[in-house]
Amino acid sequence: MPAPAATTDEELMLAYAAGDAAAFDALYARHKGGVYRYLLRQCRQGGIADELFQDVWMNLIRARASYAPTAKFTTWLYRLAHNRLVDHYRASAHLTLVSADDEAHEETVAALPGARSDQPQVRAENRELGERLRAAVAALPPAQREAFLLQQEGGLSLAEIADLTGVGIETVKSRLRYGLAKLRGDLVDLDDGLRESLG
Amino acid sequence: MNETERDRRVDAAWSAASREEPPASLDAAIRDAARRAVDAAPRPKRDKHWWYPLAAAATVAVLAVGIIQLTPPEQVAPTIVADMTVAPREANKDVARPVAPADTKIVEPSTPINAAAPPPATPSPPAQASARRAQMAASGSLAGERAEVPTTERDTPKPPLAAKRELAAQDKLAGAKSDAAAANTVASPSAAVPANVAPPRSEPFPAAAAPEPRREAYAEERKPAPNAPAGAAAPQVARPAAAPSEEAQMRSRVAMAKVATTDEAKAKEGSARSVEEWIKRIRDLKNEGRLDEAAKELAAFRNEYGERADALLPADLRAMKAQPAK
Repeated sequence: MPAPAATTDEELMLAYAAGDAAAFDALYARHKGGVYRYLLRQCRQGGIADELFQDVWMNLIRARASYAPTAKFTTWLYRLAHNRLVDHYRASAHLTLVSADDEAHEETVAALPGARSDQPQVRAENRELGERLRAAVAALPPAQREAFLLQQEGGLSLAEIADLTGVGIETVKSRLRYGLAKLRGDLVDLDDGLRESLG
Repeated sequence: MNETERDRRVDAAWSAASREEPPASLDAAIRDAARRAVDAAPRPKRDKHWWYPLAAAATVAVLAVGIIQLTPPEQVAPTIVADMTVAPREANKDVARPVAPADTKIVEPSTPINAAAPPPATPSPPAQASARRAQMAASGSLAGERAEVPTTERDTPKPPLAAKRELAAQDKLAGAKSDAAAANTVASPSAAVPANVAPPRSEPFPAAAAPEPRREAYAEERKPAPNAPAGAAAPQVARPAAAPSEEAQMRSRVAMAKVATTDEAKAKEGSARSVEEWIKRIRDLKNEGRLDEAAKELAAFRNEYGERADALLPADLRAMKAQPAK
C-alpha cells in the first residue's frame, strides 16, 4: 500500500524500519533524483554515480534499524551520500579540496561531460542552457559545488549543510556566495535565454 | 544579492536543466533490495527447533516399542517374579532340612520343600516336574524354574540388566538340561526312578532300610559349603533340576549306593538266615535219613563260614562229618 503523500520523510523511514516496504518506495521516489544528481554532479561520471547511488541506498537500508528521527531525513540521507562520496574520493585519490576562491578550474569545464543525453526528462529546448549551467556547476570548486548541490538538490538549509559538511555556517555562506557569483557570471550571456525559458 | 537568499534565476535554471534520474534497472535493484531486507528481517517467528521435543518423544516411543517387541515375553515376567520368590525362599530356608527323609528326596528333582512326605499316590517326580513345567509355561511364569536355580548364583546381587540376561540364559539352559534329564531318566530308570516307586526287580527289603551311614554321608555331601551364602543352604531339593548332569550323577550314585546297600543287607540277611536254615535243613536231612545230602549241606556250611562254622553249628551237627562240597 503506497504511503500517503502527506507523510513526512521521517515517518516513512520509521515505517520502513518497522517492515513497511511501501514506505521505502515512497521515500525512494521522493529523493532518488536529488541524491542521484548530487552524486552525478560531484563525481561527474554516470557509472560511478550509479554505483555510489546504489551504495547510498543500500547503506540506508542496512541502517534502517538504527535510524532515529533526531534530524531531518534529508540531512541524514545526504550525509550518507556525502560520506560515500568522500570515501570514493579517498579511494580514487583525486579529492581536491579547494578554497572558495579557487579559480583554477577553467580547463576542466571543457572536459566535463554534459548531461546524459539518454535521460528523457531533459527538454530539448533547454539543452543548451542546461549544458552550460551544468558545465558551470561542474567548474565550481568542490566545496562550493557541494554546498550548491546540497542546497539545490537536497533542499538543505545553511545550518544543515554546515552540519553535514562539518564546517561553520559562515563558511557555507561564503562557499555559496562565491559559487553563485561564478555561476551568475558564466550565465550572463544566457540571461535573456533564461528569462525566456523560465517564462 | 542577499547571502542568505537563493538566486531564483539560478534555481529555476538549475531545476530546468538538472533532471537526471537514476536508471530504471538501478531503481528496481534498490527497491528489490529494500523489500528483501524487510522480508528477511527478524520477525516473531516460531523457533526453528520446535520439532526437537516431538522428535525426541517419538524416538523414545519407538525405542520402547522396539525393545518390548524384541524382548521375549518370558523375560519380562521373571524379572518381577524372581524378586518375589526371594521372600518365600528365605522363609523356606528355616524349614528346609539338611537331610532328606529318604532317598525319595534325593532323586526327586523338584519336590516342594513343604511337601516333605509326598503321598504314595502322587505321580512320579519327573512327571511332577514336567507337569509343573507345563503349568508354569502355561502361566507364562518361570518362577518355579527360577526357584530351582542354584541359590549361590541367584543370591548374588547383580545389575538389573545383567541379571535379566543371566536369568534368560539360565532359563534356556535349565530348559535344555531339564529335557536332557528327562531323556536321561527314560534311558536309565535305575538312576531316575525314585524309591517310592516300586523298583523293577523284586526286592525283599525297602529302600528305606538302607544303612544309616550312607544316608548321612549323602546328607553331608549335600550340605552347602561353609562359606556359601545363607540362601545356598535352603532348598537343596532344587539343585537337581537346575543341574541335570549333576542330578544324573547323584541319582546314579544314589542308585548304586542303594543297590549296594540292598545287596549288602540281602547278603547279611541271607547269611543270617542261611545259618539257621542251613542248620535246620541239615538237621531235617539228617532226621530224614538223607545223610549224604545232610553232609553236603554241612560241607557247604563249613565252606561258607570256615572256622566259624564249628562255633555256629550245634553240638549234634558239629561232630557230623561233612562231605566235601561239589
